[in-house]
Amino acid sequence: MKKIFFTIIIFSLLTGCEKDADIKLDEMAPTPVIEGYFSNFAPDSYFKITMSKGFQRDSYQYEPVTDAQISVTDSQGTQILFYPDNEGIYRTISNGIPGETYTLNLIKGNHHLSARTTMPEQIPITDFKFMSVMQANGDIDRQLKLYFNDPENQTDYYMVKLFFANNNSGYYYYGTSYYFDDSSYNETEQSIILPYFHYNGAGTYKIKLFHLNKAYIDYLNTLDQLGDMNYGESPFQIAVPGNPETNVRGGIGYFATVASDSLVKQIN
Amino acid sequence: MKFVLSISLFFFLLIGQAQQKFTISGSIIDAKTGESLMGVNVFLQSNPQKGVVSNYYGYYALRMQPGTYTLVFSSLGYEQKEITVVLQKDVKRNVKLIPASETLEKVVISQKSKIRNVHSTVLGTNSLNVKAIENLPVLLGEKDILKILQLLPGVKPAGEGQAGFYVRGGNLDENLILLDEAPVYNASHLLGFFSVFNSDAIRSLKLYKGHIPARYGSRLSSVLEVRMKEGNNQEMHGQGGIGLISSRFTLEAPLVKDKASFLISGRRTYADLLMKAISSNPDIDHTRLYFYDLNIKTNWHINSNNRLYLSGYFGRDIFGFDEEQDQFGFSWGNTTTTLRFNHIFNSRLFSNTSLIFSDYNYRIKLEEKGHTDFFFTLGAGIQDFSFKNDFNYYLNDRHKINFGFDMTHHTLKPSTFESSEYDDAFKVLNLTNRYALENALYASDEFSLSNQLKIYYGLRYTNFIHLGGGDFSKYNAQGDVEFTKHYERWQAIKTFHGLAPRISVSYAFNNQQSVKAAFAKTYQFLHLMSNSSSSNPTDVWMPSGLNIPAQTSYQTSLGYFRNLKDGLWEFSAEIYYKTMQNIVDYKTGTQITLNPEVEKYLLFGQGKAYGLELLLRKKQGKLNGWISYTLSRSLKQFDGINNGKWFSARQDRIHDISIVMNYKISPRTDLGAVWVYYTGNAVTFPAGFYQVDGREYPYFTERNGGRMPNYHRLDLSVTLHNKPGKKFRSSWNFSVYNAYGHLNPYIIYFRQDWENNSQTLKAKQITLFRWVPSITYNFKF
Repeated sequence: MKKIFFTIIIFSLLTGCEKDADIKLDEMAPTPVIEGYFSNFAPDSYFKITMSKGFQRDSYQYEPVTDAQISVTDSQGTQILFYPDNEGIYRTISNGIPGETYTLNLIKGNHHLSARTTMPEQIPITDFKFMSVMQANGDIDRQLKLYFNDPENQTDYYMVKLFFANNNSGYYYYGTSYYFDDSSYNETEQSIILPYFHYNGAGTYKIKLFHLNKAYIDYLNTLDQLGDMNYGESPFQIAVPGNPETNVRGGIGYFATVASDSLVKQIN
Repeated sequence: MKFVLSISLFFFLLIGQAQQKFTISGSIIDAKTGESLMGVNVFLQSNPQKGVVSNYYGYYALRMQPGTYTLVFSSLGYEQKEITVVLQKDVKRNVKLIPASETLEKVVISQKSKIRNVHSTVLGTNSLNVKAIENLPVLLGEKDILKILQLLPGVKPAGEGQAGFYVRGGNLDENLILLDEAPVYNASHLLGFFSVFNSDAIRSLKLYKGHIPARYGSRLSSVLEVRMKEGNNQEMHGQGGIGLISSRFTLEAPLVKDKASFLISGRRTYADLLMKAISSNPDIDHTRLYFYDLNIKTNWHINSNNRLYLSGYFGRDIFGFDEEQDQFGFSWGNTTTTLRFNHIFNSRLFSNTSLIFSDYNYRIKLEEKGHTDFFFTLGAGIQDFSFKNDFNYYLNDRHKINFGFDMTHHTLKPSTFESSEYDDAFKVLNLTNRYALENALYASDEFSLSNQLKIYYGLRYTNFIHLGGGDFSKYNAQGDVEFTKHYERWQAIKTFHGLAPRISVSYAFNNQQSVKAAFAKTYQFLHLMSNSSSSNPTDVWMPSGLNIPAQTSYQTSLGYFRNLKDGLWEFSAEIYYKTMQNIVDYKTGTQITLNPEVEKYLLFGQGKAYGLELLLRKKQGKLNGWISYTLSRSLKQFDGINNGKWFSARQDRIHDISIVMNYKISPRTDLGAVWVYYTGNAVTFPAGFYQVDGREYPYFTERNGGRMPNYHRLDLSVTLHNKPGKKFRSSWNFSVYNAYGHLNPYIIYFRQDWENNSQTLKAKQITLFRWVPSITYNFKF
């Protein structure tokens, strides 16, 4: 559909014309936006706060907000505080507990954001390896096969990150995060093939498996669709315009909790 | 069972009234072509209020006391005919009507025709005679009946140049479009700019938007009946046209004079051929971009009681390119076939039995050759097989009863996908076909209580069964799977039932003015998954089932009808209020196209639409035409959208005005003009932006809280008729679409203001059509 859209634009530039549109647009007031998550493993936890901009924004640079107060409170009333680091990312030294329900409170000037969610259970990784898969053109590709204990009788959602080090220089982030659900999970082998991660030579590999709530995945998927859309008006719209469903009140973004497990292996 | 008993009692009571009467009946045909004439007024000269209107197949029947009567046969465009009948027993009289002069201003409108709009129970109905609109200006010279229909009150175009339309606040998929009884699931060509109806092959169309007869259902908002010509059974005739982007040719002739005839009509666009001829770009040589239509019809008059019709439509859009390395093809189209058998059981009972096939599908094929050969094909569609039996029973001069049943088997093909290599991202596209049976039983009576008071009342029982087989999941409100179950083929997954009453009453104060009221309940079980303001070829139909409830609508309308200047002018004012339940929308961000789990992203809510429709029409004279104005609202409410508050539907256009004029300057020169104005569509624009993970996203404050700019344009045409020969007539039509070049937006988009070296976004609009000229040469022999 995008191709059709641009074909029409090109056709129109030749035969019709383009001009400034005479339309009324609302101008939203700057509002705090929260991204990131609280994890059972403290170094993974982070929140980044930015402010939204009105339609007449003069820049697409979004500077991190460093003067917000962020706390997460568990069901017993225990408060966990987050502080900004040098890059404006809010971090904590406390681990979350899978299964616990947490309430976020964020204060930035006159804005008060709140949200509540339950941290999913931790799903242990049992093993991983790279297996050879023959492609249609005869080439051999070595793809990641991940072994873990996916819970039965429910749909689970995951994010995987793979890290690689080849000369003891530390972990390198390798590739992008990959989101998946357990619809391709092999119950007998308790494994899944993740073709988006490939073998990168001999070295140390570390894999992290994040268990996510469905609502968070829905939020990310919706964002993904919105990022691709032409958010004007055309007969070739590919996604319904609107804001993703969120658990945050008083602001924008999503308060997510995740539970992760990791495994490190030397692979030759 | 209660329903069957009620129907039986209903007929028993009616039949009880019918004693000591005889029937005059027969068929009415065009004397020149032999085609059946529907809609002919047949009435008593001594009492014009007593009469009937011929049915779709030209059949009429009047039941009266013994005596001598003079019957008048009258229809617009034909010379009035009178016959005297001595009614001592049942009498059969077939009647031939002679077409009046070709020029409309000479057509004499009979007294009955003048008052028909006042006295009939019909409310919320638009009819168009294809002949009467042939000189109006149209985009690129393509005569398009659906675009002319959009100039009538209550009907709104989907967008600039679009053949799709909204009726009384309903969605695009709430219109049942029937071509010779066969449903046409995508009535648009070339991204919606042209309809699939070649006007040369079309005889008439009628849109029911308020008073929907009991014989029709399946859609919430309207039924559009399009009837093809039958074919001349007297002599061979042809007609055609050569235009800028397409040409068409129609041939009709008798197979056996007075007994059987055929019609074949074709149309093809040739934009691709022209581009190849004028472009030196080699890529153009490998490109295909065109559409074609083929209409075929034949009929056989077996004897005076039996007649057989076979008609078909075949049309397709073709887009693609063939290069050495890559081949791409995208095609979509409809195929319909209708076999009909008319049988007259006796002078009072007429039946029509129909077997109907309809298919819509699209196919996308990509083939890449090179280091890795790769291909994929993707397609989807819908296919119907229907059986219908419709009866007209002429009980007496006060009751005309219509009853029957129809059964349709739907096959909905959400997606079929084949690829040369396994790809995890695409495997989900191999979706299970959906099957459904849609059945209906109906009865209605047009009852003349007196010369002033008439009532139409009917009931339609609808039954829809979503059938297996395959695995089907039920989703909860959060989109989680509640259960997945395997169903065998023909096993019922979910069944829906419903009774849909239809009532219409008219009270005529005199022959000049009347008031009417109507109520209709409708059901809809098929839903178009579309996020577009026009219908896209890749939109997919889904049936009601485990996750999608049946949609319902209740509509009440009131009308005032007035004839002025002895019937020369017609005025009507109608108000309506319509509520809709279980209408479909989508969760924010839902991608509809190629989404295998689209059902779990659906939201169900309610809608309401109300409005005032005014129409002033001058039916004859050198200057004729109409002015229509619609003041309306269309609103929706969904729990998951806009915080549950009511919001404007996309088609919520408050004001809509059309002015249509034909002016005959001289016997060989016609002028046509169309001016339209409407409020812009309700749309959703962003109010700001935010960033997540380094990527910028739009923020929306309200669904459909914005407005497209108001739309208006003027189209002009002049038709010059060449000096007619003995058997050959021709004309040149020159037209300009959007004559004063108003910049109506087709697309609005946002981009960085790079002209001023700024990162601020600007709203830009793209206009497609300004001062679009066209020349068409039309001929007839």
